Amino acid sequence: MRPYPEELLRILQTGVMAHFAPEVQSTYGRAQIAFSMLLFGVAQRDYDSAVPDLLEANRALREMLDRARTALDSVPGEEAAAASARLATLPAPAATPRLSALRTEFDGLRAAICELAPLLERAADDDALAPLREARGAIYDWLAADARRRVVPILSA
Amino acid sequence: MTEGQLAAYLQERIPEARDVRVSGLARIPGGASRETWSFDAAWRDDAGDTVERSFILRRDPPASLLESNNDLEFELYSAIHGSDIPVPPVFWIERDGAALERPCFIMGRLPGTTDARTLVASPEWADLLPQITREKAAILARIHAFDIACLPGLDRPPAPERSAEHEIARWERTMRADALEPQPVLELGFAWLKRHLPPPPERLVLVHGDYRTGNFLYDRTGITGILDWEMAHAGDPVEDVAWVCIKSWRWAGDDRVGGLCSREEFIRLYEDAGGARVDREALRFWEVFGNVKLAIIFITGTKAVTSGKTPDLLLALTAFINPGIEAEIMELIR
Repeated sequence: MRPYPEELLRILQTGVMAHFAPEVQSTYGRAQIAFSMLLFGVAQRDYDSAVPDLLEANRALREMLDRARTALDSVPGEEAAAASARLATLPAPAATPRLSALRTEFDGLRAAICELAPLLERAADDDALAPLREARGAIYDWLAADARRRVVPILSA
Repeated sequence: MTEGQLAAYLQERIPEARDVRVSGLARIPGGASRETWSFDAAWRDDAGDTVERSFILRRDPPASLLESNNDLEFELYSAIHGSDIPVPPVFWIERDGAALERPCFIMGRLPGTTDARTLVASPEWADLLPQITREKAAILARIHAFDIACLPGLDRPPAPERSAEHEIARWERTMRADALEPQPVLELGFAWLKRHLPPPPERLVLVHGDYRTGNFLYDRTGITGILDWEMAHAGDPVEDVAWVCIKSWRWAGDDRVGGLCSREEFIRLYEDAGGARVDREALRFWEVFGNVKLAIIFITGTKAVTSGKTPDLLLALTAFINPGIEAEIMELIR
């Protein structure tokens, strides 16, 4: 049904500017109006791509964490074994393409990276963790690219 | 809060004043950790002469980016005012909301503006940038020379060699308390920081904690005041130098730190003004730390606005600054 949600956001943005902004006199109030315009813009930008972005992110994260688990299995020691066991309990893929389900999966996969962080960091120069380096590189590359993808240009130096 | 409330408050605080009038009450945008209000007051003194003063009121919001500590900031301004570090005079502190709805303190309004983008981008200010840059570096050196024994309320690590660990622990606690979702980049940042601790400082100094272009007042005479001390603590002076350098404050959109000068030029000016020698490995550590800290400040703001504690849209907006900070962290720790 029209208007679609992203169209509705644009309509709200236009309405705020047309009806409310002229009434606001204080510098503080005008600043809040400006912030709301930027936020409407962010919501519009993210709305259409949210589901495919999460589907792709979850696929990529799961694949990298599987590679990390395979690498850890060739590292001796209890710490690596514990990390591998943790990676064996990744959340199941979302059963539906609803945003809430995809976000839950996404958060579960990112939580696994959080727990792996000390080992990933040490793998840079600890030869005992050398098998983990390839997965480390892939995870670091993905996190950097994901951060750059989410940058809102007007808010970044 | 109304002009009438403020007039009544001033009348109570300045008993000798007659016919207190307050005008121009306006909230200043920004100040995400505290509300900042500006107002003018006028009254007649005992001799019948008119006295006019301009004030700034810093008031706790319903929620903020940081758990603020009015007592510390009030103590800092009180101790520093009159030294060679320019800060406004402070007059009154209210530790509960009985007088003005929420805890607050009131200080004098100094001349000048804090607008960072105008300073670095407008031709109007171009001729003043070299002076501002020198003063910014020299004042930082003076802050680091200030005697922290005068500041009993200042948080401090148990020893200089624990400065970095102390700050890591503080901000890791904040992240664990406030993050609404897993933060893999920040976890990797903390893992890196713990494995790359810097050489300790020779001694603990007063660290401003948010020393950047945008947190000082300036006018045509140069820097007129250093503001926003709520993250001040005792620690490693390089922490402040690195904060000056982080990418988020490069307002000119190029490599100039604070939008003012090259990193090496700022360090030279700071050291020449009597600042501590800046170890480059320590600088790298504190630059990673500064980015992690800034991201956590915005995470705290996200929690405040998402939970409905505050309607301040600035806090919602700052959440979207974090992807750029995360990209910078990944660049620095690879």
